[in-house]
Amino acid sequence: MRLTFPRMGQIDIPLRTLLEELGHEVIPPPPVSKRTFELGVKNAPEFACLPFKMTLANYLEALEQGAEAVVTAGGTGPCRFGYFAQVQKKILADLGYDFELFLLDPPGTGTGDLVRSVRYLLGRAGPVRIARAFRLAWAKARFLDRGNELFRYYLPRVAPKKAAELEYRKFLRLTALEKEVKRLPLLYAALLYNLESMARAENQPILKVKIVGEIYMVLEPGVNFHTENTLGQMGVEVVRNLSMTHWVEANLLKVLFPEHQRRTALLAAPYLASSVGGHGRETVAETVAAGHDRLDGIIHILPFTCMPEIVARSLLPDLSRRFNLPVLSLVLDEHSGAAGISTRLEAFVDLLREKRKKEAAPVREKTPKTATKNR
Amino acid sequence: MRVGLPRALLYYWYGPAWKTLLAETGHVPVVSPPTNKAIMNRGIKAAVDELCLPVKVFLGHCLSLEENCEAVLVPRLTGLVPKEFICPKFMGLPDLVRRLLPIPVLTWDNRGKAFPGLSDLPPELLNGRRRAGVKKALKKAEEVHTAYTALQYRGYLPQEAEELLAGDRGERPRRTKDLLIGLVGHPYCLYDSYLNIGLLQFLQAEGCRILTPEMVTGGQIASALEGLAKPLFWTMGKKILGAARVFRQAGAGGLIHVAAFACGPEALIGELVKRECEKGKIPFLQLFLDEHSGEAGQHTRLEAFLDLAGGKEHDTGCV
Repeated sequence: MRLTFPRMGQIDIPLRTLLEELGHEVIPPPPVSKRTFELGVKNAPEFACLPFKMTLANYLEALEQGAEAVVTAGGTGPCRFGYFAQVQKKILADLGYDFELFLLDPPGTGTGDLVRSVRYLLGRAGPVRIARAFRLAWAKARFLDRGNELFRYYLPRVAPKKAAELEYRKFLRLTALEKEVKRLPLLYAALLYNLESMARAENQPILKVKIVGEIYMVLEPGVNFHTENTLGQMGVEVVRNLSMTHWVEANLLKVLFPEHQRRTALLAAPYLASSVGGHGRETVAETVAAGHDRLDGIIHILPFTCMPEIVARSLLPDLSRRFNLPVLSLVLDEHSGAAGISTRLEAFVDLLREKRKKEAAPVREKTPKTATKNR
Repeated sequence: MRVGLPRALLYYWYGPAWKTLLAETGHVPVVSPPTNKAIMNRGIKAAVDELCLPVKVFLGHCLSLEENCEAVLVPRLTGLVPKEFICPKFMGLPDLVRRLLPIPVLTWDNRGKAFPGLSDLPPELLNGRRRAGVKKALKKAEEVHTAYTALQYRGYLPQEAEELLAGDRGERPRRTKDLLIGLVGHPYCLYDSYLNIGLLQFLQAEGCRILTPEMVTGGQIASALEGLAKPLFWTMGKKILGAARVFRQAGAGGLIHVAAFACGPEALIGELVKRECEKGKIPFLQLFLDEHSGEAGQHTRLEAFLDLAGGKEHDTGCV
């Protein structure tokens, strides 16, 4: 059966590797385009969030290209993500698409989907092959996240930004094709060397901005109007805690990596005492962390009608005042326009520059410490 | 202590019980007046734009209680049933209110139960009262709640049930001849008549008999939802979809889904309810409430809908 999956940032690279190594044929959905928006908006409920609409469109586009089954994750609430697949399947059935759904629900939902899906997905491979597939896919995810971090660090610091971007794209392409775990560090080293050789002396201080919010909107540049890239071009270094490996560690491998949840709970506790589903509490926690690290600003990206992030959004103004940390909230939906977003980003960066100048001028010690651990 | 109870959100489910609990533990419960323009505007002003209208109205109610109360009761309702949730906004509600109000916010964490246990109650509420007394108060509150829901199962609206419990009114004879309209939605959208611009009163004046999810028992809901691809994890969503199925089987002439603009869970539940109506071939109307809803527009839509729903009784073929 030809498999497809929802697309989010670079997740298609490790996922494709994993499924192909397990012996399946994969048809990844095409990158987000205008048509993806149109298909999603046309067929999804009006007040569903953008991630729902876009993943629905992902499936539609992949099914058109001949995919026969969808592999996706589920959840147990309260975020709507846990019920995406069921509603999307009904909508696609009404549109005349008959396909198999391999749902990876967390254990405890009582549907038996997890066992069935895992059995099918692993079905054709022996234990050695399974181990190799997971190892390669995980290593790719790791190096992609590290490469992305590197790119975010160097983009504001290099001179021909276009060349740096090409270099990064080459890294993505080669990583996607790579079959050997041991060659992945070499690709990363090559990216590091090339970016370092393009770095120029800093003629203006590099601002450091943290992006927080809903994971799909943050990681998928197709829906957030390439916010990170735009900021990089403006000479702003973007840091963030969210990434695909972080998500896997904090959600699927919770038992092995309890530190993520502990960090979130401790940082957010004075402002938000309980989890609110999705990444709501993470948003509050990471904003607090940014305040302690004396970063220059926060950009909060969330889809319109997102429930967990609205709770966080209601609390951010207070945090902003408390830590003297400017916050820009971008609530995005299908009606957002690229020009509007870039104007707001430009204005925000101007504000941060002015703030930095004012703070840096009279007292030297007040210069924000660079928080090395976030690099 | 004078403890304020905002008449919004889940007050429509737990109001009488919470009132009893406060009164029995020796406090004076102060319920805010029914939503009015001033309350709504205060809430809208205090909240961020993206919050849904019912939460904005809730914040307005809290602010209106500030002057004549010493504290406000805002329970943290993570879930009312184990492994189920209500909207995430309810989980953060005490944190949202705390940053707006100068007076203390009393809260407890329900953690998957409809009622708090003795150890969940905040110390301010107990202030030195004996355990046995508080236990008795909790039990009394639960009894009131059971009576309140039982009245609703018999077809009384929450406000009528509350008045009946307080002995302010007599029982009302049931009318059965009218057009049966199923109304689904969150309780705070259905029963706040300022929020939904007098929807219930309008339908009653038009001679409809109204069914709401609160009139359907838990057992009926559970059996109606058997065979769902994956159990729903929203308590209210479950109630709404289950009730829609029950109403369809009960032969409702039409179904109205009332939801707040940009309501998260309802976006998906509404889609499922719509499919339910298509399957049963019964007229379906979706009303979204926000601060810009107008009376005239809503009445026109309702009249058109009632024409369609009423017409079905005579001639099924035309729908």
